[in-house]
Amino acid sequence: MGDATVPVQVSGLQVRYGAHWAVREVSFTAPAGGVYALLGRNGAGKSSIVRCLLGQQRASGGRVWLLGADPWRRRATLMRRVGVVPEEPDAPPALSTRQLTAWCARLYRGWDAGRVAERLRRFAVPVDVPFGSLSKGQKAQVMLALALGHRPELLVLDDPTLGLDAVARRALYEELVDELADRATTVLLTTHDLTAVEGIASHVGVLAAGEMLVDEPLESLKARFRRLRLASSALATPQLDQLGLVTSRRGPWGLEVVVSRLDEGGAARLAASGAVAVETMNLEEIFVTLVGNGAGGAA
Amino acid sequence: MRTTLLVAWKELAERKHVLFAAALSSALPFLAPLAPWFAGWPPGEIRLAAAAVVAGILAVGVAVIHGSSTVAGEVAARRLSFLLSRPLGSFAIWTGKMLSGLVLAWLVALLSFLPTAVLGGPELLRDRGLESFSEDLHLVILAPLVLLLLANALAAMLRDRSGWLAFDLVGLAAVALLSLWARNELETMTGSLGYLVETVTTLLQVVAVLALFVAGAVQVAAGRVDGRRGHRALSAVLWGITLIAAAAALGYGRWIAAPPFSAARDAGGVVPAPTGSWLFVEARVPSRGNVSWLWLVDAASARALRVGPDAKIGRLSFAPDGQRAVWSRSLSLGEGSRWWPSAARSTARTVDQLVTLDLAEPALRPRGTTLLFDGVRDIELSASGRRVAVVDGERVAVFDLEGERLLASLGRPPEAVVFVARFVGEDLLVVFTGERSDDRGWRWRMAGLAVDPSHRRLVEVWSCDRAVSPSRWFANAAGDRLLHYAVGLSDVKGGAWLEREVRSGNVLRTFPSEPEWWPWAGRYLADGRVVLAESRGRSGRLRVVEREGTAARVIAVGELASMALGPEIRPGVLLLWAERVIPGPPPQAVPESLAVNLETGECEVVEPGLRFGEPAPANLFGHTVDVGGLSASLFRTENNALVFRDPRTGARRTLLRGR
Amino acid sequence: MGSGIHVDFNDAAPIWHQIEEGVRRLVASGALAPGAPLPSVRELARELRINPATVAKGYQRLVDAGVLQVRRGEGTFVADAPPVASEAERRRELCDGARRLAALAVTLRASLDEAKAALEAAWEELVQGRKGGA
Repeated sequence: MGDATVPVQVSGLQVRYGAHWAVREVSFTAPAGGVYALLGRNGAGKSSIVRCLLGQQRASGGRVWLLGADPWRRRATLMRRVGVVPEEPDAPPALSTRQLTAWCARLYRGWDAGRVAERLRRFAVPVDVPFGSLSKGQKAQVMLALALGHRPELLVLDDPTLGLDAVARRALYEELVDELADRATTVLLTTHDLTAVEGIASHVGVLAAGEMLVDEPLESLKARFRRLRLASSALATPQLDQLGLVTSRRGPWGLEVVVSRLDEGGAARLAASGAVAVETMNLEEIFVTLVGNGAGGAA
Repeated sequence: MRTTLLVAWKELAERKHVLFAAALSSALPFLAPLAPWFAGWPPGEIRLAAAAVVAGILAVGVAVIHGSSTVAGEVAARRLSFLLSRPLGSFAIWTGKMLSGLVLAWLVALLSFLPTAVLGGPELLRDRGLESFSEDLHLVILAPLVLLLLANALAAMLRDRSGWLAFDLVGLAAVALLSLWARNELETMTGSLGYLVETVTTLLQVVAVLALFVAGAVQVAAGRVDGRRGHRALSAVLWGITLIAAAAALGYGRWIAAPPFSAARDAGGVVPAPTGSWLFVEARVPSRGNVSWLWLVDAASARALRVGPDAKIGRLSFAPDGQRAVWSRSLSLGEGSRWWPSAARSTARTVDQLVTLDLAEPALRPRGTTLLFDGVRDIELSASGRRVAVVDGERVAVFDLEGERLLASLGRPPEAVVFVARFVGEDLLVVFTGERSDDRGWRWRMAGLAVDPSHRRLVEVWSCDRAVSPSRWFANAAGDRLLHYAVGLSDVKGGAWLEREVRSGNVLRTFPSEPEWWPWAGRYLADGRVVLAESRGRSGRLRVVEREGTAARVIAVGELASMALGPEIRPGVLLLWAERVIPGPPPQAVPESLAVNLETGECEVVEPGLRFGEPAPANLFGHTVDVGGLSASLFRTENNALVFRDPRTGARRTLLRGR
Repeated sequence: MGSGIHVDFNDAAPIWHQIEEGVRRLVASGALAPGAPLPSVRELARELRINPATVAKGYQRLVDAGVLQVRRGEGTFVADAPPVASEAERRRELCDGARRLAALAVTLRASLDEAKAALEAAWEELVQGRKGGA
């Protein structure tokens, strides 16, 4: 069932903590060479999915394949081909970066010591200072350098920019872009940093309360979502339903409607008909519309 | 293996500050002699002791802290994922962490101790004996491992803070209960011998340590970043394994404790009832822990009752009619620690309970009485079977068995050991007391004690200081006369057999030994005649003396190395246990049983190749007339099988198999 | 930005398309002369913090259209003679642009003349700018 050419395949995954369902029936596939961004608010179940994918946690139901194999059973072998940047930097705080890289170099076959050293030099990470004493940004860079040192086929980043300032965040994404440019590594990324991820992600999955709302290429997602500003009842409800009505609310400039089944031609026709303003939406706006549920606030 | 070492290296590198601290603390022992309260002590000794204490504390501390933090602590701090997201197997992670803990504890102990050992004086170590340190070395090496594993399990349980902790407590209680029960079961049997207890205890401890190790491995493998899941896995494995082991130990104990008589081998002591067909046999069960048991066996029907483990059964006695038996059973489980079998238990005093059994009842049900004693030395039932005389560490006492009440007693003479007390009739006890004398070994005293229930006292009615060994006396069938050997008499040169009137102790007749004749034994026959067995050089003879007078008829019984008088098979036919000398070279002594017809003087070898059942310790002092008793029908083979020979048909049956 | 290419996430057009358009615009306006080097995929992606695959896709389309050419080992350059788009394509793109302008004009309630005037002004400005730039 597991397809070795598909880096990440999740099918009907369930994760339960006692009576609480963190993930219910989630399925998605991250294709090779792509950047799959798993989006969701805090507690949406992103980290549970990542832990199941990395074989660190047992799924309560459903199945997960990492590089075509069961990560719970084959964790140790799979981790030779996977790099991980965890939600919180988990490297031993007492070890210096030099010790950490030396240790990893002995652990992995084909460790690229030169690239790791170069990357650390670029960010001026002091290599003899204990990891625990580094700044958050430096920690993130070290974790990324350690995750990329063995040239993984798949890079898993669990909210890597959490708690980072704008400069550190930007630096991290630049490194990620570099890596993508050098070696078309498949990336699975969870985040709520939507603006940064918009340019990088090829696919997005949107999670809310343990369920997958959207799982598709970012391009097609953006192509089909539009915000319409209507003067009163310019469009009848059946018409809106046909366009895939997602939300509607009364805004300061009349009725604001988000539809999810609109193509370029349709948008142009609507715009030409007048009385309807058609606006494109960025990822953040789409996300908020999907997840915000009205109460989440405006974009 | 490589990955294990990598994990261990990482763990050690994380904790290298501990090694610095240990190196620093190695200076402490050098400061210890400066402390005012050690003034006047040799500084070298103080240093050495302080170094040992510091090393011990550090090693224990490191083991406990490392054990409690390395898995459960990292899971709680969300740092175990660092190792889990690398190509490291769960088992390598676990073993690496344990290995690092061990190495750290050892290194810390070594570092803190080394400077004292090197600078403080190798000669001091030599004086104290390096062996004394190497003796504790296994402790030094193993203790950190056990502490590590224990700390890990405890941390996993306590950090989880879930209801599973209750499950752990139940598991612990169940395991403790089962192991104690198993231990008790085994201890009851083996008593102070205890090798089974030690083996099982050691095995249980080894299994417990292994279970802790396996449980920790499963905790990491199945729990990974989930502390609760890890706790559950650990608990399930830990209590699963230890419960199975404890249950197995208990099962083993109960299996050992319930052997059938058919599994018994190798007769030890044998005590036949004076009449009837019951006998006590002491025999091992090689297939079940080789525990030695005491059995009551009916030679006629081959029914058998397991009386108890030999180590727990003290003295025993049959009533003269063979219908009642009594024995003492030790209630003490030994004092000292239950957990450390090596603790000395030999000094413990025992509490013995008197148990009676009515052999006439179809259901053989031993009945424990309320009579308790401090170390029973001898038990004797009276002729009616209603009274029992008991010698314990304190006194000689006579009890009424029906009412379980004391009738009379006499305190033990100081310095003297009461060896044996025998009823003659219902109201008189013949008691031998022995006292160690400097020049000649034991000095014996024989006395007649009358039972005086009104004053609850045993009253000495007569005594004799010249008696020799409690084995050389015999009472007649009527119970009014007794025969014993004595030396150092004023009117007889050498030794002589004396016949006394039981009530008064008056000497009725004297049968002096002829010079150079060795007095082996003497007894009454059923008709009141006296038989004396003697030998000079290798020639043995019997002297038969009529009821009255001293005229004796002599019957030669041939070349013998030693002899003893057995029971009267039929009136006038006496069994003689002898070691027949077969001329060499080299000459050999072969045990043999002879039936001697006292009328015709004929000697006939009974059951060639078999020996008579050896008189058991209690029977060694057999002193009453028993014509055609069971003891005349019991034989043993070379390898201690017990054979019953039907006196009427001559048919043989093996009662108990040999080695 | 140094490259002169902007990416607008609010735009409905895919990013690769925006890059393609941006380069075409730079070439058309003469800001990128024939034979001029383009930033490498890596540089551009890093600068815009977008997926290099996206940049590569934009570049590839331009190479396929003959606007750019790849010199092995050297990088990507503007073709020596950037082709004029095919008649059909030209018309289609022109219509697309016109439709966008028309939609805007309708939304703003501008008259066709107003829209035409604005288009002419923009035209003038662009042609002037090109001359100035050259």
